[in-house]
Amino acid sequence: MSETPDVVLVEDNPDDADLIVHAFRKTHVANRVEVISDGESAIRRLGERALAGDGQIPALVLLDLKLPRRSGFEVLEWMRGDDRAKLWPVVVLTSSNQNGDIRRAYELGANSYLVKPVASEALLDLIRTLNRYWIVLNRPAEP
Amino acid sequence: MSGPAVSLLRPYALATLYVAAAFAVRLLAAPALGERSPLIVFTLAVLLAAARHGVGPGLLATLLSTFVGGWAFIGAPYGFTGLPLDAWANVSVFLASSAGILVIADRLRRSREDASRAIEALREERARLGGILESTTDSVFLLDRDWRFVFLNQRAKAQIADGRDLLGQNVWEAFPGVAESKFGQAFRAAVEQGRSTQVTAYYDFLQAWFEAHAFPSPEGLTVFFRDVTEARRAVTALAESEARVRAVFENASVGMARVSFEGARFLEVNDTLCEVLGRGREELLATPWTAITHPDDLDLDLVPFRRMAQGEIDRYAVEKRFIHADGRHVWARLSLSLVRDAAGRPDFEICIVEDISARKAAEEELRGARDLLQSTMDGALDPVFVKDRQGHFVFVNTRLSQLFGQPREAIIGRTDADFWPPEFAKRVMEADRGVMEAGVPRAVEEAVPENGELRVLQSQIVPWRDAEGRVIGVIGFGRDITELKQNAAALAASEQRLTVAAEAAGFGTYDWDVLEDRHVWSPETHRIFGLPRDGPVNMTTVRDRIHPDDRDRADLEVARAFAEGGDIATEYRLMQPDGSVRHIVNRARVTYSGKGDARRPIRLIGAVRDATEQREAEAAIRESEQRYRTLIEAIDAGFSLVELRFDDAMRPLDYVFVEVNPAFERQTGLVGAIGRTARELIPGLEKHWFETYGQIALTGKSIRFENHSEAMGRWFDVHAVPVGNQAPYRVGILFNDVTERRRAEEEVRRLNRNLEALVEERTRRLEETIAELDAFAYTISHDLRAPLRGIEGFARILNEDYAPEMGPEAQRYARRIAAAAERMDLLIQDLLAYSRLSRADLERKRVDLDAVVEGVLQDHRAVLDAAGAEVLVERPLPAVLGTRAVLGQIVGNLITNAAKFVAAGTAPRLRIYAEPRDGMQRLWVEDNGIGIEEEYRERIFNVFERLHGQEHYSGTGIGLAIVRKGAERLGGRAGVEPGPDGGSRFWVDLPAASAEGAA
Repeated sequence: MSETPDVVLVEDNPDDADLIVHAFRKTHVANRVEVISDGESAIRRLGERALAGDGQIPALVLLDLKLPRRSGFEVLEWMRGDDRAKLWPVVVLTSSNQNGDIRRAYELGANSYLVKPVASEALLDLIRTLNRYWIVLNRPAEP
Repeated sequence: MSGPAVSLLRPYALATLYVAAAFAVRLLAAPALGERSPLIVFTLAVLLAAARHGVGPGLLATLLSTFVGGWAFIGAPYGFTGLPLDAWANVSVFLASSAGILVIADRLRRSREDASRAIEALREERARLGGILESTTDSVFLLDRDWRFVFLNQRAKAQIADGRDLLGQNVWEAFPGVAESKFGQAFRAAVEQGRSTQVTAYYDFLQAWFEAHAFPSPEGLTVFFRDVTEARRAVTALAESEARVRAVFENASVGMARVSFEGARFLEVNDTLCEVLGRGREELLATPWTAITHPDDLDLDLVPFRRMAQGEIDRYAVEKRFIHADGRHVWARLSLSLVRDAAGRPDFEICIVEDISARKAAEEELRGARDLLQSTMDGALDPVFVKDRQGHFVFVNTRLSQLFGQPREAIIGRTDADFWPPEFAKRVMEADRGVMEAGVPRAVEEAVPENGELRVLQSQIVPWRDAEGRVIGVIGFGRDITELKQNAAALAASEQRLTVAAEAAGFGTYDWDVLEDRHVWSPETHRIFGLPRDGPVNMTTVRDRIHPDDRDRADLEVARAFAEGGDIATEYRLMQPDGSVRHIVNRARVTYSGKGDARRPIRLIGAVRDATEQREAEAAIRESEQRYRTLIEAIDAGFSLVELRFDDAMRPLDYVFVEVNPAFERQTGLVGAIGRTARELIPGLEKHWFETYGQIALTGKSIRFENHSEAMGRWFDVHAVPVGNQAPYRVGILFNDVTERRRAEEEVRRLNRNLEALVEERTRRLEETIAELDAFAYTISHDLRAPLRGIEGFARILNEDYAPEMGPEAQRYARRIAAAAERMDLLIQDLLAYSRLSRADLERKRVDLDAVVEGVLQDHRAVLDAAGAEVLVERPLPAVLGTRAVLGQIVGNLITNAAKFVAAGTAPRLRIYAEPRDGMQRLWVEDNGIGIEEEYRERIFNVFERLHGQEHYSGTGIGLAIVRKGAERLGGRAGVEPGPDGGSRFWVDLPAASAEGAA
């Protein structure tokens, strides 16, 4: 792992986005986190990166569900329908713990579903776990 | 050689012979003839053969002649080869003439044969015709055109020939006078006109009637005839007989008629019948006899008439009444005989009608006399009888019939021996015989048993004489002297019986000798008056018993009866020795002596009856009636007694108010109803009211109903009861004006309808609200927590990354910001959980509590470990019905709660176990905590109920509320008890997972 992994965070709340980016930094998991604040931009940006190929493939996509313009579900649906992006790991990170949301996210092909913790310690734990599992252990196969 | 062959050959032999003869003749004639006509003689032979024997022999003769003759007389000198021409001519002429002869001979022979055959046929035909004519039943003769007899059959010969041979004789000559007779005319007419004629006439010469048919033919006349003298004689005789019968029929002194079975119509009636019935012939012929027969007598005649019509009987007689034209009844005796047609079927009826009215009248008179006698005698109280010489009863009256215990018809014609024991019967009959022999009346006394009792009869037996004075029987007049004979003791017994009967009927009898003031009382009278049987009874004692208030009335009544006569019928009260009062009914009759002014009452005989009970019952009824009256007067409900009015078909028309109570006016607003009809009082009163009451009155069944009267503008609740179900049809009506209640009900119904709409509206709005709440909950969980995360997160970053720059005070505040945010988040999460519990539809499944507890312990491991908690789970825990999530919340809250509330410095000790209770499973969580005072044990299950300050024990105050709400949502309960070692024991009752609950 010569280079630090590249994470895409789709999150409209700037506070949450800052806290998550801070947590990534603090845990030294990733120094490159691209933050996208609405669904429509997310689809556009992810599409560009998919077209650009190898160097642009993110190690992990963290996706909030409640997003302006296009919801997280739509972003997820788009990704699973795109030939290049369909295998990218997507972890839904949201404040909703409603059963309906959880079920729908998994049905659309989310790799994991996590509820945003309020306590910052819990957030740090969460980021560490994400790193361990999704970035280190579960790197997608090299094309 | 056989015969036929000989006969066949014979003609040919003869032909040969003829030729030989001709040869001989020619030889003999040769000298004369020389050579001329050499074959002429042979022509004769041919002619003879052909004529006699036919063509075959003729031809043989020809050929033989030609050869023999030709050779002998022509050819011999020259030989055939050298024949001169004239010789050939001779032969040719011979052959030609022979051929002609042959043809002619054959023709002749044939026609002869035909003629003989025809003659034969004709002969046969004639024989046949003769046979036919012989065999006809008629006589027949044939005349030729000259009127000569050519044929008579045997019958004809027998009838007219009289031994003469008539064949060939002229008919006019043989039978003198016939030419001028009708027969002659007919015969001549037949021949002249060429058509058959018929005639029937008397022929003097033979002194007989003949019927003849003459048929002309070219040969003459054929006459068929028959002697019809006998037939003519029969017809004449019939006509004469008929005339005689008709004369009888028409002139008979009795009515006669021919009656058809069809329609029972007269076919013919005579004058007498018309006279008897007073009806014209035409009228009778047009009227079936059934229509003029007395209806009562119709069957007498009709039944046998029908049998006769069926041919079952040939004659019958009947006496019946005809209806005369003037309407009176004519008694007639009818003799009827059946006349059958030729086929033996019933044809008509001959009816002879005798007017027997006079006889009937006489009979009627006689019967009247007899009936008069009978009824007179029946009226007699004594037995009367008449017997003939042999002792047969010929007349008995009713009393005798009673005495014999037999109906009159059973006695008439029978003797005493048939009714009495032999000994007794013998004695009676001997007595009768004595009277008949002596011819003088005699009195006898006999004891006759009647109904098992001996009656004593004193009889006067009188001889019965006919018009000539001969004794033909006896007449008896009996007299029942049984009663006379009975003695005084019997009389007393009877009296006693009467008294007993009176007492049985509740009557006490008394006999008051007014003059001597002596009283004879029956025991019941003593009882009624309350006077001892052995005590004195007189006017004073009796009078003292009478109630003082009634005493004067009683005195007056007796005085009046004594003065005016007539019976006493009174009621008064009696004072009893025990102070009670008795009502009695007294009936008495006064006996007087003397007449007119000298008349004086001597006795008062009467009966008294104790009517106390009856009077008391009446009083009770009156009282009860009064009570009910008072009640009806007092009640709020309207009451009326009405009497129904019906039309002829018993359809209710109206009703009259007989009685009403005061409430009636209030309830109906009707004033002065009594005596008036409902329709009069309430114009336009609906039909259903009196129809309903009419039905009640007629059926006798009470009805409770509620109905509206548009006319009165009111609703009534009515209870109507029949007062008997016959005239006068009365119905009691108890009712309430329920208009207000109806209105209220209507209002309630209206409101209910509105309410339903309202509820629907509310439900809809509630559903909207719930949907909004869901959205709100989402907002809380998502949006409200987001800023919290910011607050906490940034506070912590300050503390961790910028601590050196902030100083200790700022660091502490930053920590407190983070803690507050964390608490806030917990609170929100608990509230969410609680509200979700309240709303969510829970689908219960079988859940293993072991797994739930295990999961919860895992989840809270960190917290429990931090507190040094010791948890003992008594496995196995049972399975219950619920949802994993809710059960997790319940158990989680119980465990964290138990681990939390311990005294400072104490390690929490938890014991988790379960037990079945009342069909549920109770899960216990026992702790060693600080315990809960009794007054708070319920309150702690309320939302936000906290017993301790936040500084001592953290928590949102919602946990136990979630426990209880969750338990309730699963169909169970939750509660707390003090623990055994000071702590608390929380319990949750959960529905046990039964077999069918397994999922």
